[in-house]
Amino acid sequence: MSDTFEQAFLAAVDDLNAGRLHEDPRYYLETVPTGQHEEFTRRLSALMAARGPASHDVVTSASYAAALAAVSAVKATDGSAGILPGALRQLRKVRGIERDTVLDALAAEYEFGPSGRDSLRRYYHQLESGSLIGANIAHRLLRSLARLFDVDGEDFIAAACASKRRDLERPKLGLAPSLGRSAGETDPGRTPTDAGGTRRALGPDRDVELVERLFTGGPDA
Amino acid sequence: MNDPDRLDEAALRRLDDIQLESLRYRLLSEGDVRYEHVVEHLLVRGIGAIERIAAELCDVRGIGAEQREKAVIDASLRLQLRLAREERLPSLETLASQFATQCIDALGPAPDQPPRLASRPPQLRSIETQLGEALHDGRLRRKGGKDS
Repeated sequence: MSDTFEQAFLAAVDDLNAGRLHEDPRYYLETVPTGQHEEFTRRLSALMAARGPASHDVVTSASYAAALAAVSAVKATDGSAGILPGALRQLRKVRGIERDTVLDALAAEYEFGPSGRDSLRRYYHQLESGSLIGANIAHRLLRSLARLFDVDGEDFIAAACASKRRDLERPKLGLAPSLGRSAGETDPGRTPTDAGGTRRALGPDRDVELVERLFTGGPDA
Repeated sequence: MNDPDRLDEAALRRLDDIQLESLRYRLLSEGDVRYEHVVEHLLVRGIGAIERIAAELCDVRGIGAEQREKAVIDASLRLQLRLAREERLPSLETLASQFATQCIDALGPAPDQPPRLASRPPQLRSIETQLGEALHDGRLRRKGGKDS
């Protein structure tokens, strides 16, 4: 049997398995030598007859469409933190998890006080909004988030760093400062920094500093 | 039609799952952004597999359509995240099965179908004969009313 025949048949089997077999067989026959059209049709018909009608086709089309919509929404937000921001939002949505629940869990894990929690809220908002740089997010934070969402930590790390790979080929776009501040700056009223970025007299707030490191300090922060 | 940033759609369709995964890994490790196009194809096929597996598991466990939809979405998002990894992955069918099972296991009992006790079938028996015998034997006496 020719390679083109086998490839076309496998494509048809894949589509059949996925419940999206084309109604017009010419779609698959395009690449099949004319002399083998009959054999192709006979084989595919036999396979379809053996499988029988798909009992779930009608009742599950809604969930298939909903899942496609969810992954498309994630893809649409693909930016400087890869697909992670969209994935976090969609995972929370489908599981009915409030953002505060995530913040509570992170605050408890890292033992943040009120100031750290405020900072955490701002940075997490920036993360879900896609305004942080994925490659700068600490891996321990990504693993903490992954545990909360019952996902493999390496999946979140890969998702956040997807943009890094894209940046290899495309010109970089400057990131607009979020809420009037760049990702590295803190709230001016809380822990002011001088021009060099070092803290001034008020002294560093340990919690705020840790939050900044987790969200912007790089993978090993 | 000949967009260099897009792979040949028809050629991708003709690849089987293993060939697609191999292409995804190669493009990803070369930093070629077109891996995203391959991921789209893998996702479309993977979600189909997730949906099929989820439907079978939910039927067996009596899980309703609403819960099943949540599980399918959740598993699809997990698959999407996994496909961002720069490593060789197991077959699409294996990943779909793994994620669908995980998400359905996490559902627990379906809230929209509370357990119901089966009603006990009534055990009726005619007492006419027994009643007649009791009256005859004197074990039972008529009260004497007009309905007796």
